[in-house]
Amino acid sequence: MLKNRIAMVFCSTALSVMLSSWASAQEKVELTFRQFDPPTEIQGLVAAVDSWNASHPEVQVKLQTMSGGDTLAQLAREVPAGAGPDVQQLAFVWTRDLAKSKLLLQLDPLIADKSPGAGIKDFLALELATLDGKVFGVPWTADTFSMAYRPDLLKAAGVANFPDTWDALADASKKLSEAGGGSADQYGFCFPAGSSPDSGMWILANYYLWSNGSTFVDQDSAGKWKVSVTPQELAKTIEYFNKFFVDGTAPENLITVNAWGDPELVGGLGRGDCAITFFPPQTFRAAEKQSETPLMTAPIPKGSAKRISHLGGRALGINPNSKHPKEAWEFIQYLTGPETFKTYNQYPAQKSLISKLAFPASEQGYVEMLPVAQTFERYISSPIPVSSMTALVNREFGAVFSGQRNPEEAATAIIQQLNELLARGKG
Amino acid sequence: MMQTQSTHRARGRLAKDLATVVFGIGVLLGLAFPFIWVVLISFRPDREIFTRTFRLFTTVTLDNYYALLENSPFGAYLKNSIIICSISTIAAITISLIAAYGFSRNRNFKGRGLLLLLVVCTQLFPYVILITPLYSMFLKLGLIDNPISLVVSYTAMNLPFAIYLLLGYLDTIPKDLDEAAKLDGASTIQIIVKVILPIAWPGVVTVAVNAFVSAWDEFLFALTLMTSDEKKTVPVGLAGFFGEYTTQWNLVMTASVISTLPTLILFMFLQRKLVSDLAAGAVKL
Amino acid sequence: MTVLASGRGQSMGRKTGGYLPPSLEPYALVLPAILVLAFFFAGPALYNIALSFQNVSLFDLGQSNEWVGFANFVAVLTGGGLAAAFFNTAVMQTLITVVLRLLFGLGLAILLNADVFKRWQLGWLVRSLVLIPFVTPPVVAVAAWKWLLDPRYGAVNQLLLSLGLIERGIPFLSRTSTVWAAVDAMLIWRELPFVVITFLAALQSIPKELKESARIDGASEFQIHTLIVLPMLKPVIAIVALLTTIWTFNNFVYVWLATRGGPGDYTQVLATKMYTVSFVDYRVGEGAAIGVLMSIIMFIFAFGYLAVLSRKGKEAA
Repeated sequence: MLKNRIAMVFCSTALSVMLSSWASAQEKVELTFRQFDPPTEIQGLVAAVDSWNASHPEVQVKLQTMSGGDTLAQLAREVPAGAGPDVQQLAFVWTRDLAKSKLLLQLDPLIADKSPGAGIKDFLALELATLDGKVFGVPWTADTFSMAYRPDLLKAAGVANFPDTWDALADASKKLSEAGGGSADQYGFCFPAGSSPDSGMWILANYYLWSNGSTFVDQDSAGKWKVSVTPQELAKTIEYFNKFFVDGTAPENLITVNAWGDPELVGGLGRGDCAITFFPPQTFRAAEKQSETPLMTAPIPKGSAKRISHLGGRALGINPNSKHPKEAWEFIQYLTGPETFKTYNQYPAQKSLISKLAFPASEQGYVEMLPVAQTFERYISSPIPVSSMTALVNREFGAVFSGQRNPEEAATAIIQQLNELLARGKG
Repeated sequence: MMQTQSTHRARGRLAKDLATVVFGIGVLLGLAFPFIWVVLISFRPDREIFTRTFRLFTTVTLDNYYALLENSPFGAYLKNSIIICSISTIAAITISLIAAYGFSRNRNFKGRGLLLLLVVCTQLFPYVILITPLYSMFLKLGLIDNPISLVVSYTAMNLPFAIYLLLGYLDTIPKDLDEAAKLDGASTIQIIVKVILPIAWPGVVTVAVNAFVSAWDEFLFALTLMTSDEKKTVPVGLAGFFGEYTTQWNLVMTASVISTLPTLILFMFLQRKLVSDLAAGAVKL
Repeated sequence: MTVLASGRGQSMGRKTGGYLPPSLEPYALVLPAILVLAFFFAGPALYNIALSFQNVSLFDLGQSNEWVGFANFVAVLTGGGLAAAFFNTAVMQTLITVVLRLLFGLGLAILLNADVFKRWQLGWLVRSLVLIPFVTPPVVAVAAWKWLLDPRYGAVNQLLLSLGLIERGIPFLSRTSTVWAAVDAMLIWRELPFVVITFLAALQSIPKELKESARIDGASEFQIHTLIVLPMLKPVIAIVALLTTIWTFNNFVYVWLATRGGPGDYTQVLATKMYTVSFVDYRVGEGAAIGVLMSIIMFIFAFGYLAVLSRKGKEAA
């Protein structure tokens, strides 16, 4: 009796195993694609994914959303455990770190097999997606920051042209604040001055430094990494931005504003609280929606050396655990193709596609900045994690803005901590 | 004479009552003000959410509510949260009540002090670190993207607090009631359910509300263990409205208004039972 | 008598369905809870401790890493900012808010326990209204408060301006002089209801007759509350104080959402420091070390607290 039972169980198991393996050979492939933008920003992307699913019944893609800040830790847990999405959206600056820890699939064989877009060299910021000469991510969308302003408010205050240099910006800002009646109804220049590890102050500080010819860390001719900025240059940078608070041309409340997408800034332009601020493209578009009067963009002010901004954006990577890397690669090619960008309103990270893009009139600032934008590659190759640099710079700037330190002390503190991080990073 | 005396007392009492009620409700409304403001602005068009002057009432619109349902499967998030939190709360209450009874009625069994200390010790570790081995554990058990993992997690998270609080409440219930029931032939479980539970009901409700709200607000585990969009809980869904480039505050406010309703309704329902049970208890005593 | 009693006890044991000798019963009752807790916390707690002795980057979390002994602890203790974070956590975030919550919580609970609410059938209403802050998601609670504290549009500043107490709106979260008051206000606002309903539940178990007879004997309301009510609430107050202290000490959410530890480093607490070290600097080993240090501090506190409490209990007995 028992023997028969065992035999039956064995046969039925074997049968079902055979059946399922036969079935899976015919089964469709299901890919998971994880991205990190909120639902209101990805309607175009959802349309593109739906379109793929409609035309590829044998490769179905499931879209997952997980906010960016949490994604890194999640990948670090999932991938070593053997799980994780097939295709993952990445920030430019993450790719190398993830590749170093073997959390991404090396893409060269797939690229050799079928080249994406107009060839891999057509992609912007490719250096951030490579580690030791091997490619681990495909740059997908690109963005940079430009100034955004209310043309009508500038005209009313007698500011004829948008300020071209940093000093002109400070002057214009004064004029605009006075024009608002000086009673704190209107401020000149609003910017994220918060102390958070991800505050936008980091971006502005770098723009100022780079445009004046310096940088936080650099490699010397021997290949050794060292702190490049001098205490004087750094103190001057801190002082420049602190002056907005000292002069009252920026509201003190900005010390608590971290995100460039904060309603204080996004709605501020529309409400007339601020005449000038600075945004990436998606945020600018959101600000336009919130404003009844038209908004314009303008290039970042020039420093003594040049006009510059940073090239940021997102890339796409494949999970080393993925059971269907070939299909995932096909999907990535679709995502980076012109079809997707018809509905997904981000700037494509490919020179050939960007040159064909028709920028709306109000986004001319980005048109001017994109060619001169440079990635954070200059920092990423250093032994210090960029996120640590960002956190410490924002903290010290915030300490000065809130009166806990003066600019010289903060500059010294920043340089000292950068040196400590460099020393530690080498180990 | 008696008439005027009693009406005087009655009027004095009425005045005192009125003052107490007005003061009490006033304090509570003041306390609730920030939330009331959130409710009000959820009915404003996106542009007017942060206005220049502090006005309470402006245009009223349901746009945000439509936008919320259009842009995200918020209904699914609500359903997931309600199911997961309800089950884990019931489990936590059951297990903790039994355990608290054990600790309360048996003050001398070997290891009591140690076990109680261990229960407290579980509260000492930050979940941000614990989540990593727990993720691996649930992955090995095949429970990732399965609500059971969250139910187990929330039950475990709420147990220590619940045990301690219920222990405190049970300690105030005299043991004679237990003895009397034992003499009548009741088993321990019967004592807990028929004798202890009704009397400790206010305490149980308090613990239930705390467990439910803690589970409801929990973010880290829900984010890590539920990866599919349609399986998300409310806090994770809410966090999804915050982006690198923009934040949809109108959706955030609207979503929070909706998400507070289940807990409020649950508690109101439990409260009514509380009032009626208490009245019955008073009569019996 | 004895024979009868013990005989009865034995047959009681049979009948009471446990089929357990009474001496094993407490263990059986406590077992389910201990099992769940052991399954969930034991392994991960050890993992946390182990992690604090390793040199781990966030990206290498799931993989094996090198052991570095006490290096993480040394780095954390000498790294600067820890003492300030500890002070912020222990005093500014925990001590102040726990004391205020106990005081306001008790006061509000006594107010809401007034007889009139029962008589006018308003009991359910007040107990639900008081819960409103507690059911607001933390991110929304902080956002609502941030807006209320806004120097230009916030209700608080508008009120102060109209009362003539200030001339210009105060940016509460931007100034070191007011930022802790603002963060503590948010924390207390949201966490007070729980204390209130916990005390309310305890107040309800105090028999009315006790208060009535005291009133008849001529005691004032104040005397009734301090001499009768408060002593009876002692066990609940003690436990609430312990649990809220531990929970507030480890709390991350309010400071993080309100200020991220800013301006500068001013409102940094241990939990936000641990988060930043782990997820911004990517040094998870050091983050785990901070976590272990926090656990040790709270363990010592809990142990001492419970010891004092049990000693007081023995004295009273």
